[in-house]
Amino acid sequence: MASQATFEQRRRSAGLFLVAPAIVVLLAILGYPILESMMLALQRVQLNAGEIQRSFIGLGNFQRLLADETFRHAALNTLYFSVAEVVLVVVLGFGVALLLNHPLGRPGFFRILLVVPWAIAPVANAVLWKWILNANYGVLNGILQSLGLIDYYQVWLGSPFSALNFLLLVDVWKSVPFVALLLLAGLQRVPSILYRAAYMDGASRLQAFRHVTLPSMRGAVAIAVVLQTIWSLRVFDLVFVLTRGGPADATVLLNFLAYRVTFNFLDIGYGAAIANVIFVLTLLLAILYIRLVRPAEGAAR
Amino acid sequence: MTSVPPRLPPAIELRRVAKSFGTVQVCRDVDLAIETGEFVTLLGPSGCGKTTTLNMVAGLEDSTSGDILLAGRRVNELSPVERDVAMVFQNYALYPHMTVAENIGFTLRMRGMKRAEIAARVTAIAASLELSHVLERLPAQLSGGQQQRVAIGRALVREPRIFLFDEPFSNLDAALRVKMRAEVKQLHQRLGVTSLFVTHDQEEAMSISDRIAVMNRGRVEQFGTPEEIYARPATRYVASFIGNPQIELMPGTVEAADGRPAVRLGAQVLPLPGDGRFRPGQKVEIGIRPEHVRLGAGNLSASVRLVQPVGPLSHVVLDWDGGSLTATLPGFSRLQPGERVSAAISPDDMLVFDQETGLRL
Repeated sequence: MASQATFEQRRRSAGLFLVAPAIVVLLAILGYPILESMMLALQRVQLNAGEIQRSFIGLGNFQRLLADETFRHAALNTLYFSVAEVVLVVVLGFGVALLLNHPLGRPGFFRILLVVPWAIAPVANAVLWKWILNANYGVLNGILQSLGLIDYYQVWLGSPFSALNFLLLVDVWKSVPFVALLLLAGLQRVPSILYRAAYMDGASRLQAFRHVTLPSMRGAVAIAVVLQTIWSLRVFDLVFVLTRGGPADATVLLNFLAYRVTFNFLDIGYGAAIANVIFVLTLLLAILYIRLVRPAEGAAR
Repeated sequence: MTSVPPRLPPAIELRRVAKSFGTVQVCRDVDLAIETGEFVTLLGPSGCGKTTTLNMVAGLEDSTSGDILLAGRRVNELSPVERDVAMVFQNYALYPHMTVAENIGFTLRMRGMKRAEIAARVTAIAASLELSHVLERLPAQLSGGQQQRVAIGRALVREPRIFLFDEPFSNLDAALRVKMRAEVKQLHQRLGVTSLFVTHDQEEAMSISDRIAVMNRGRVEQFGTPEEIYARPATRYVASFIGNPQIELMPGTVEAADGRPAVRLGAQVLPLPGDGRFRPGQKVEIGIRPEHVRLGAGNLSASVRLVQPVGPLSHVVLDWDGGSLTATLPGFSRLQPGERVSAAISPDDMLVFDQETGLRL
């Protein structure tokens, strides 16, 4: 028997030894809760005089979802919220990235300024906007009135349509910086010699943007879209702080619904089923994201 | 009165063109006049201002002062398209997401030409550059030589008045570089379009150009045919930049020996041409090209340090009391290191430079 391992074997076992702690931690804090929540989603869980009673009901919770008017409403809200947010954030982010890529926008000062909304803790951000939008002494009302745009103070979060769109506005405000930086990195990877070539070829600024910048940015935009979709799906803090789902459930997004069903109604199994729907959607998007990132790295010579 | 046909203005003319970036002066008073149909190379080390000069002709960079004229018309403020110039870039600068056909046709598309006409012109260009079978491929799927030809095709398709080349072969391996050099020269012979070419490779410049402008520190040191540049370099700098192996430069003093001028290099005295160009006591630098050192006869006694055969030639490095000297001999030399040889240099083959100004006397 050879007592000594080859260098290759030794290296491999050393690697395993080094990643083992991380794997154990990941399994404990990610793997276990995911499995447990999947199990919960298949059960009817009741709190009865301080006792938890669990009974296995198969896909019963998911069947309930299909017939649930509130769930459908929340799903539609989430769809609207996510689509609108992705479009707004990517378009605005692209615009900001273009400004930052301009020689006048290069100084780091602008980039630091840009990151502020993104760097604020999500709940702090939500609280901040709660004050801005306040119906009695909010600064938004004050500004609009002094500009003569409104006659009297509005309850911005008071009507269903307005409330959902203000949530959207706040989240867009918070999300644009990161996407802008992501797209800025993409813009800076476009070789400047291509712009010189396009200029020599007689392309106008707009044509150079259309034929050189945009095609080169396809990968970066795709990544931004997928990431932003994931982030839009998981919005919770804003709803919790600003509206608690109201008025008339107009701002109930899927994540908030899962929270409400689980912790307010204590319908734990059903809440877990809703959470699992979000989980599967996010997982699919994450897989898509990884696929998008991989060839982009391969193509970067 | 006999009518004299009007002389055509030069295709490209630079008049005291200067360029600075902040306090750094990249080009100082560049004067050049390039005739229609000429192939001219800007040659010099990196940082000598040759690419900046090219970019100013292209319209990619503005000159700080001076005039740029194309066919007698001042174009300083015109765009590349208005100047009717096309450029082949150093790293090809092909659009990575466009096929070969789209790359070549892009400039025509920007001009709003009809699809059918673009396709016809692209097909014709591709055929002449042996690119017909790769028209639908992306640049990343091509070999280096093919990418280079696409870049040339993209310039050709516009049928411009002037071609500009910015070190187009620097990314190719040695064998391909020589092949592409020949292709570009043949293309120029066929089309006769005025071309301005930038390179730091003196051999490339010599082999491809009608005339060469040797640049140094933002100035044109000499503008002439390859033969003039090689055989009659205007300055010490030009002499040392051109030629492989490099010219041997040795400082010395002019003396009068038996009434004839000669130069003292260390303990040896070599005769100079007696045409009155030199005066005794003058501090000079003597340049001797390797092929002008003849071994076997002569009054220069030396010993062999190193023999480097390169196939058709052998470079022999000699030590003598005036320093070292390289001689180029045909074929494979049988000389051995340490062997004593005698060498002769004809006075007419010596290039004599003023030590202070660096100008050839």
